[in-house]
Amino acid sequence: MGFQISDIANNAPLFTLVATGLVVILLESAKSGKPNVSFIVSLAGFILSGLLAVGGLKTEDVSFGGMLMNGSYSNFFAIVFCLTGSLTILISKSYLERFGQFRSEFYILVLFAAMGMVLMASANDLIIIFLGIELMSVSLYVLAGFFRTQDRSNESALKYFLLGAFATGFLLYGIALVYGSAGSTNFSVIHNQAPALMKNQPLPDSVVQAGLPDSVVQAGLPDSVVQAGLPDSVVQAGDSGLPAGQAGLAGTIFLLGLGLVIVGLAFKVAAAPFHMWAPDVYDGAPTPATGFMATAAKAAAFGAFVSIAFKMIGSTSGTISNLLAVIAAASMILGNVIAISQSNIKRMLAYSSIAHAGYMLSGIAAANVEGQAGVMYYVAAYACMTLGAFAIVSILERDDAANLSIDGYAGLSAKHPVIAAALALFMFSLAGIPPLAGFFGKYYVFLAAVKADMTWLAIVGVLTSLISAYYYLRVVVVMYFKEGEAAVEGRIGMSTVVAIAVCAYLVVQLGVYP
Amino acid sequence: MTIESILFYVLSAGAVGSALFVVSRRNPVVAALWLIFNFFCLAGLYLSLHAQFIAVIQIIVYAGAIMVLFLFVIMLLNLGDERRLVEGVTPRKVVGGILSIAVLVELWYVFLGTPSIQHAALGNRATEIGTVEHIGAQLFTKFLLPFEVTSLLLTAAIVGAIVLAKRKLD
Repeated sequence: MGFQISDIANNAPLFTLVATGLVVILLESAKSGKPNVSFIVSLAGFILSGLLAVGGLKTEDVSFGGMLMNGSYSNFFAIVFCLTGSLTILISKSYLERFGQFRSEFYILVLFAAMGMVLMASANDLIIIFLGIELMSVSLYVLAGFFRTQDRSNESALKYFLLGAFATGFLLYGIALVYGSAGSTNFSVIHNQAPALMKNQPLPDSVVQAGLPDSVVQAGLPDSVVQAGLPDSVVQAGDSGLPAGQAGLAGTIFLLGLGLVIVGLAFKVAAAPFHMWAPDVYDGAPTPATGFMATAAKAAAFGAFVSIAFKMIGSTSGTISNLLAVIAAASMILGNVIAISQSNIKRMLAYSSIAHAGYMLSGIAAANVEGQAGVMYYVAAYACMTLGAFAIVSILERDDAANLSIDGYAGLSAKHPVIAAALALFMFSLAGIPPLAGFFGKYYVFLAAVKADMTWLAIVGVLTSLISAYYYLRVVVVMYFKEGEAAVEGRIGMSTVVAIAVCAYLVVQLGVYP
Repeated sequence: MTIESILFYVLSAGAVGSALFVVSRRNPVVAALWLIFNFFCLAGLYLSLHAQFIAVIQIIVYAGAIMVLFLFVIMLLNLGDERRLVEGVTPRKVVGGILSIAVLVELWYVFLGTPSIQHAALGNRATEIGTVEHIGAQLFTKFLLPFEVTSLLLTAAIVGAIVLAKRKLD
């Protein structure tokens, strides 16, 4: 219980990010207007944190009195966040310079968002999930509105903020209901009680007592919370244990709470029908920030989603699985079909990200080991290819945002063959063409769905992937077979080129040696 | 009659009375000031229930921060002539009245229906939970990490506010 020195060692990646974030703030206040220093320090912090995460892959432990779960799972996600974070920083430098917005605050906010993400992925408690999501979201709201002289950027930030606050309300209400019915916010405790709550059975007394970790809970707060809201059952309930009728009620409340938590998380991953914000926000935000949102934030939300689905609810969740399967199918169909009609490449990528959220959710809906592994692989693969695509969009984007239409990419292959080839690579991977990373990601999650007797979900996934090939390949066709005046303004930043190269390498690497 | 019950009746009367003044005053600033009085009465009630922590928080957060926000908004809105704010009996008010009576009846039902043993039990639990010592001990042992993460969250919010609201860039 409580704090131990080893907790800091276990969470070295997290604390490295925290330290870097604070150091960058201090540097900025000491030497204002030297964003180059912040750029280098943030990059170094991300790389160090990622290396520490690689080192921590082997040790499985619980820290801060059961608040965090450290091990291969959390460190894997920490690596993904550090990778996407450092790539975002690399991409952002020349982009921000071009728009005259090269400021240290961008890096501070990216670092703080990454801290929230690491917390979400290593959380073993609903409170930490909530705080992690808030830390991430608050930073992202500001990143979306970072170009505060642009109306589009402001609109994007405001929309994201209002809808995000609304979704947080759902999440928090869900957490309160889960706490009220299960008596704890800790995943392992809830996991012990979930089977009984799901089947609306009375909780065995031993479970209740074994599961309650401290005096607050033993003092009967959960019972009183449940009873206070429900006059009828209070009248009938004696004061010992939980009679059958009330346990049934607790089960209903538990499911309701889970449903609301899922709504909150589905908003964060931009799954249909909670996807409305994504196209507008992705379109208006500065492109590196969009790339960060679409990859790292989505990966973090999936990190939290997978922990909740597997560590908290467990495998006995038929109702939840079906719910997730429906959300997954809806996201795949809606994202892919609407993406066809988009002419703006950022909006197209936004709808494509909704569709990819659907693919990943089908891995969670499958609720088996293959599903979990598949989602983790998919998150990494998706992060590389989408961030790479956004990096290229950021090179081509001009001041007036005029060069965002897909037709504007015509003739790119003649002028800049390497960039065109890289973009083609990312598009092929997003479409799921073997042997690139995107193909194996889809293969794993659909395999998991088939193994879980959800063949229909896999069929929907494959069919919608076919649809997606159309709009991804259209970009390639426009680049290679149409005459046009696609041009890059000024010279391309060195750091952006490095980032694109890293993304391209990883897309091939993950695909060839999965 | 013990001193506790005398205090209870005095504070309750103060709370109900000031709440009535809040909704019946025409001048929004006066109404807001009555709201502060109401908050203090409630804080006193919490204190008599041994919930010291909530009592302090009630004063710091509600009577302090939120009321300042209220007054700022009232001033910024610059309502001017208060008579324009008066409205007659609307359907909304009727529905609101019915709902508040329903809540009253519900509360009544709950309290009359609960066996008195449970009142006592709940009271003892509350005494245990609500003290500053207990909350502080929990906050710095079991909930240490969430507590510290909150500070990160606030730092991020401050940086964000500066980014969005700073008058001049660089």
